[in-house]
This record gives sequence, C-alpha cells and structure tokens, in this order.
Amino acid sequence: MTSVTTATLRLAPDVLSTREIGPWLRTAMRHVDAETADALLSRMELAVHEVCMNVVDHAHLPADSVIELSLVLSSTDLTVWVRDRGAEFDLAAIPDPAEGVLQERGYGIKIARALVSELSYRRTRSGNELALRIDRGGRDGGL
Amino acid sequence: MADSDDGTDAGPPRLRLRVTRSAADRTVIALAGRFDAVEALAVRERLARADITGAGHLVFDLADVTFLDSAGLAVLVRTRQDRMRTGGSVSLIRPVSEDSMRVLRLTQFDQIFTMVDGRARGTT
Repeated sequence: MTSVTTATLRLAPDVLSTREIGPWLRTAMRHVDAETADALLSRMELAVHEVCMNVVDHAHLPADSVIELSLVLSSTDLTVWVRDRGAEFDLAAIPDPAEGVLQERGYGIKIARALVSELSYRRTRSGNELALRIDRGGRDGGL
Repeated sequence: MADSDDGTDAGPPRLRLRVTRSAADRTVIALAGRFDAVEALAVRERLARADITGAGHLVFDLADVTFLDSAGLAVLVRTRQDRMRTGGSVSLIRPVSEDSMRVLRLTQFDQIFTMVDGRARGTT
C-alpha cells in the first residue's frame, strides 16, 4: 500500500511565526509510527526553521507576502518546499563557516544542509523555492 | 523569556532562564526550553545586566534546552568573544536533548567550547 500525505502552511515572514513549523509537521506525521515521526520531525523542524529564518532575514520580501510551505510525506521520504517571493539568491554561494572558527552568523544554512538528505534551490517565475528532503529509513548520518 | 524558574506563564512555551552565582567569579546561566530566534534577543538583553557582565567565567547550563537554533548559537558565540577579550571564559553544560546536542556537534561547538557533563551541575 502506498500512502502519501500532503499539507500546506502559510507563514507570516516574522520570527515568531517560525514556531508554527513544528506543530504543522507533527500534525502531518500523526499517522506515522512514533519512532519514525520523531526522527523525521526533529531534523526537519530545525532545517525548515533555519531556511525560513534565512528568508525572514535576507529575502527582502514584498509587502504583505508570506512564506508558503508544502510537504509530501511518502513511503520513501519527507520533502518540504519553502517558497517565497523575495530576492533571488545563490544557495551554492553561501559558504559554511570555517572549520574550528567561531562566528556569529552563517550557521543557519550549514545546519539545514547537515540535517537533510538533500537541500536544493531553484528560482521560479514567482520567486524562490527551496526543497528539503529527508529519506526515510536513514539515520542521522553519524551526526 | 521568563527570567524566573516558575515557568507558569500562559501562552506559547517560553525559554526559562535562571542565573546562579556559584563562586566569586563564576556564574551559571541555566536555560530550559527553546533557545531560538524568538528568544535570542531577550537572552542577549539579560546577559547585558551587571550581574552577568561583571562575572568573568560563565557557564551556560544547556541541559534542559530542547531546541537550539543558529540564533541561540550566535548568543553563545558573542558571549564567548566578549569574555575572551577580558580574560574570562564561557563553558557549556551538555544538553540532554539529542536534537540540541546534534546542533553543537555539527557546528563543532562541542570542540571549540569547553563542554561539561551535566552531572557536574550544582558544583560550587
């Protein structure tokens, strides 16, 4: 049997609204066994949170626009898309902080990259689209 | 942020912060809950008060931090940089939460900061 769950969420582009991400993901995974749900939720919530904070801080969104989240949970993976109408950016050009050197900024995308199986970006006609995918059945990759 | 240890406020769960001076020049800042972008500014403001700015050696007790993001990490970095300039130090008590500890590992904070086992909490 193949079961696919989908869900959407519209987030106001502010810091406090990021608190809605966890409950939204948890609701979407209510039919998944607890162990799988916990493993997916803990990693995806923080990864999506960091991506959304990046949008809030850097995307220069037009007035009254929102961050649109959607997800697909299938038997093989959980994928969340984060879409916004902000300025184009180059995900590949965002460097990870230097090894062993503390800095105040720059950890958000590094954290998101590390928590998911794949983080990808594309520019669409309406704006930015980031896709975060975690493969089910994988573990923490040694982290 | 709730600057107390009762944590009974209504509404969304808030980070609880409690400051304890455990020795003449050593102060423990115990955090409990979500240490994220929502809370980071309030924590920075609390850290700017005299009882903490006057302490040379700070210990962030992260044992009960259940969610840690890059904004929380930035608070730790800034505090450590400030202390290093004046000959002080910042150490961290390990989070019990595996999710929070994972963030410290993947950013290598666990190698840069002095990490203390939670069982040492309360040591004076």
